[in-house]
Amino acid sequence: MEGWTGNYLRVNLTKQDVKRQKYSEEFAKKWIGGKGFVTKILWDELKPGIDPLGPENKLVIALGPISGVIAPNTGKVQVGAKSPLTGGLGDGNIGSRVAIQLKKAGYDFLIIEGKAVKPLSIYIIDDEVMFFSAEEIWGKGTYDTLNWLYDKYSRNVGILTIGQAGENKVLYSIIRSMEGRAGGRPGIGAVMGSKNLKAIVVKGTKEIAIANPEGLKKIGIEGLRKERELDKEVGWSIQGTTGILSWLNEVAALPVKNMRKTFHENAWKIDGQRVSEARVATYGCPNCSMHCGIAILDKEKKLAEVDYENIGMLGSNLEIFDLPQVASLNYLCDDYGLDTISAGGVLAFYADAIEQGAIQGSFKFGEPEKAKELLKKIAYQEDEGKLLALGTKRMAKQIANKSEAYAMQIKGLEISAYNCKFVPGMALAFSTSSIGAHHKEAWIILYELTKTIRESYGKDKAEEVIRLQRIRMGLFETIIACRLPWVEVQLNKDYHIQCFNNATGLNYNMHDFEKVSDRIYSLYRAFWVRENPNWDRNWDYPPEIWFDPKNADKKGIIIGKVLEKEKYEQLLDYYYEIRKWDSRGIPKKQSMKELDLEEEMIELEKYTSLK
Amino acid sequence: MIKIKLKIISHLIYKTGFGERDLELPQPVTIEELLTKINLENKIPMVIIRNGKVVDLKEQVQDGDRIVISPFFFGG
Repeated sequence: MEGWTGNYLRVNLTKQDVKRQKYSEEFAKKWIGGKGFVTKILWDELKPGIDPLGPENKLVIALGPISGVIAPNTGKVQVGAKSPLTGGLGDGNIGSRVAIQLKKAGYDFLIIEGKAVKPLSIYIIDDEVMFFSAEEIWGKGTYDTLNWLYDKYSRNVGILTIGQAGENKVLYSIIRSMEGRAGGRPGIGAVMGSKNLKAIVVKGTKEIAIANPEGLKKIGIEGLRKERELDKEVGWSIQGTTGILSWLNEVAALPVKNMRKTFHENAWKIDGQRVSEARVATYGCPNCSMHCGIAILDKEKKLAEVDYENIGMLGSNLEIFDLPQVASLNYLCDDYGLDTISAGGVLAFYADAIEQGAIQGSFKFGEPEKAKELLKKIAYQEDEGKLLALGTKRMAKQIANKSEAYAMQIKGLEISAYNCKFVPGMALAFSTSSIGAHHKEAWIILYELTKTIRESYGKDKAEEVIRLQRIRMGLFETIIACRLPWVEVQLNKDYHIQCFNNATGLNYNMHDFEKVSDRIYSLYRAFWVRENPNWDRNWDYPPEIWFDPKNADKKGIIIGKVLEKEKYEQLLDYYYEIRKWDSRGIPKKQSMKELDLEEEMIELEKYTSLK
Repeated sequence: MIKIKLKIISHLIYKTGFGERDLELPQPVTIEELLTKINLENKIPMVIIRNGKVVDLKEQVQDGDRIVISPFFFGG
């Protein structure tokens, strides 16, 4: 095998035992890497019904066949486990030097099992794997932890670590890797914490075996150069992801006040222009030539990296329009190791529930200092922080009083920063995203405004969602590379496909990746169904409030408009039809056979009937 | 003479030199003509929103309009 190393490490924390194992070429070609590996391994190795925070859960850290090579955006890793937040399968994609170092150490993935008796860190250097006590860094935030590890191992090593939130098993804690880089929204950091694993440090010194090194070097460097040229021409990274905020405000899709409102007159105070003017540093992932991480000084004069999602969820959604204060909230989430999107969603839901009289409390929208106190209480699971650490879905169950209608989550994962009360296709994208309400696999708001009309529930919208899921996940999260150059500056995705072919010696085209994507999507769905045998289509619906006419905007450009239930049903049916899933949203037998998922089909049939 | 409000979004402001401006025009123009006046070449894909609705380049600008010009966004 070339491109892939064909090796992985199985690390058992209970026994402090490490096995170096090989996997087959067939497995590599069928699942490619990244999300594909995570999905298949966890399907095969996790028994249904296990406690996601128990030692039976496994943490998979997976690379792709182009990870670590000199080519555009190859410095990312996939992390996955059974999610403690959603109860389904969960994963995330993180910019990290681990992508390079683990590949050079000679491995394509790690499977981490069991639970350490006391806090541990793992240090992998090529063939050696060592366990160290992490008691000196347990309890530290991610900034101090990273600095402590940098001092000990140098800045060039790859690191994955958690903050206090992960240690204390907050259900939406993430894994942090380097400056501003974090991922694993569905509580993958809590899984790491539940295993008493504080950090994974990786150093590799080997050559990466490549099928066609000259071809890869040529296309890789050309791709990096083209990416830089395109970004310079377009000017995208001047504001990075934050450039979209004021546009969403104009088109009435900004999350404001727990997504009850779609725009705000003060949104300009936290928009991309203000962020860019406040920039004091720029961060990026390894092997990227269009760095998007803009770091600004927060209220306490600390350096905080801000992105659109963070500003949307911790700013406008909380009605906080003071940029340094929003940056402070962002910094605290990063330091505690909390997912910024879910943290923003949880705080907004809490303020909303208090305002509606569903629960007693003193937190209101527009209160950054109280929001900071609450983030700390969440990270340490203190006072009302215990409730807030559960995420909006569980909070709504406890609060009751009809609060479920405005708990802005799907499948237990908080909706990221796009308010879809009148954006049907994007509501579908959120509702069918494999991990719960996240935008990483499909985002179609521009399509809905320019290629069709906003109020349409046409089949083309379902087709567009699936087209994007096949590219954004099926290609970029398997080979693994960042999707942003293709998404934001239109770097031709053929660069990445050619990198894959040169690395592996194969000759895949986009059609091949579409099949891999559909296979992963179906198995991912099968995992959820196996955990929830009474699965039905209600799992694929956005929150009730987006259908509620009483929640319609009373001014602006979408007065009186909300999603329409019957038409959404039809849109969801179109989606299922294209995916060859039944009306419950479960893959049909025939489609599983076509996707070479016969064994998985037999396993799934033990839990539910298939059509 | 017509008066319009113009808002430029994201990195396009570095091409126009401003983000938001009230503009007076001697006569009604099309969006395409407006773009030329504010140094926005039509090479970069752009979304034009006139009073909250996406419009094309041939659309006529009217007195009192709010025009928002942005690059394409694809949602991170």
